[in-house]
Amino acid sequence: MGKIEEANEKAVKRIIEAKPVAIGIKKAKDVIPGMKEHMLLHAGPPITWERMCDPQRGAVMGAAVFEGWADTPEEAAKMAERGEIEFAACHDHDSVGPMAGITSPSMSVYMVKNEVHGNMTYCNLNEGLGKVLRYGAYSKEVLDRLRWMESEMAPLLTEAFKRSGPIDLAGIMAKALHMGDELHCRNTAASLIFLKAMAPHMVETGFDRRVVGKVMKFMGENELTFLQLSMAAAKAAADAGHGIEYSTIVTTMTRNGTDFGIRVSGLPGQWFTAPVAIPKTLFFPGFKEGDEGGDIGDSTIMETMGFGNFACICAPAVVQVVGGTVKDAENFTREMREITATKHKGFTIPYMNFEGTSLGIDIRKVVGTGIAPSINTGVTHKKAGVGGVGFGLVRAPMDCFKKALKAFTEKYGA
Amino acid sequence: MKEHARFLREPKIINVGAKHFYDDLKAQGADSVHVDWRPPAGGDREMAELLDKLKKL
Repeated sequence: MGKIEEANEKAVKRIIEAKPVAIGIKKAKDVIPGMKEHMLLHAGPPITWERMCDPQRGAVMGAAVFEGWADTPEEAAKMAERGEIEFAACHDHDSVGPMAGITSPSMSVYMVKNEVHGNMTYCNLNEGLGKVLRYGAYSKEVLDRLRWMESEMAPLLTEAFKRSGPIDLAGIMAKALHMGDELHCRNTAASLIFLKAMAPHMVETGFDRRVVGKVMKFMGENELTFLQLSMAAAKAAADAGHGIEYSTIVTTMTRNGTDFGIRVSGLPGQWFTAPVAIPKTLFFPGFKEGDEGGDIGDSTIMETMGFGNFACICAPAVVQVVGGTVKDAENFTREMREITATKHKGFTIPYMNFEGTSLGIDIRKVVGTGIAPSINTGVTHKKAGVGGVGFGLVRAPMDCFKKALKAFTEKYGA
Repeated sequence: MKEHARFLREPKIINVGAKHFYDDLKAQGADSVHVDWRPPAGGDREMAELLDKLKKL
């Protein structure tokens, strides 16, 4: 066996062995490594305010007002222009954030631990769909919701986690794949399983019944409640396979609305980027072609781990949401087999005779076949302040993989 | 000879590579199958050479 095959086997073995569990909730500033005042984490590879897309800027403006750094979104934008807000990629701080991915110091985040390898990951709480901060909206209703999540939802969940103990995320995800989720655009089953797991503990906290009822209603009605936990779990597993010498396995794919970025196991500390594509979008009522922004969000960690579009056939219902047919879903799932190293042992696909989900995108296979990873995704309005406009389909840009292949060959002296 | 003539009247076409030729054939009712073949590395010579080098590792 060659050095690359050996390294890739080691990387995917570590990823398969990983056991991500949710252990609680704390403020970002208290747990995320390197997080500090006047710092905002964002989705995608590192980017400056000047190059940031409009929806991500909108989320920055909203977060700065939420933190009390500025009184108005306009004032927040000026702060960012003057360099008074420090930006860093979520992924460079053991974190993930869907869509704009803006995570501020006072936001509560789920803490996820990979019990096998000991690494931690973090992700903030899901706000629901439509007009929300992660889609670039920053109106009063958006900020009021965020404040309520901090004042009632996060404290309740914090106490509930103390009673529940670690929640087995991989177990929930494996079940949800058998219940119609692909764990990126559809987390309906996973969200309900999570709510079922937490509900008795929420009741036992002794919090005001109205608060418990309101939080349960909010979590139950939000079909993406679990997305943040799916993402943190996926990152906790993928990170376990990062940093393996000679490995060509992709351990991160992410977007900031301007650049698409990947990281490769054998090339730690490096980002390989290319301009994002515009998703082919199925629009929510009231929006139309031309409203959609560029591809955005850390949620492609799901495709990196073989979920989302890679497991599209697990979720026939989601193809309606992303604008395709069931046959398309099957074709995508089979096509992604061409660019991955192996199949996961813990996550299986009922429709494909319970074969494992695809795992381990290999930059050699992507470049060699010319097949770019395909992605299910939420889509923002191209302008700040509006919010989500629909769901769609998009491909990762091939140039990221070509750049990585070049760097890999240079590093390992082939 | 007879069989040969029949073949000429009812071609069965295997399309390899560019899919739009297959789509056009189907649109005209032709009996055709498509083979989704692409040149290695999408025809990018530099990338194909890098991939060859990595085979030695």
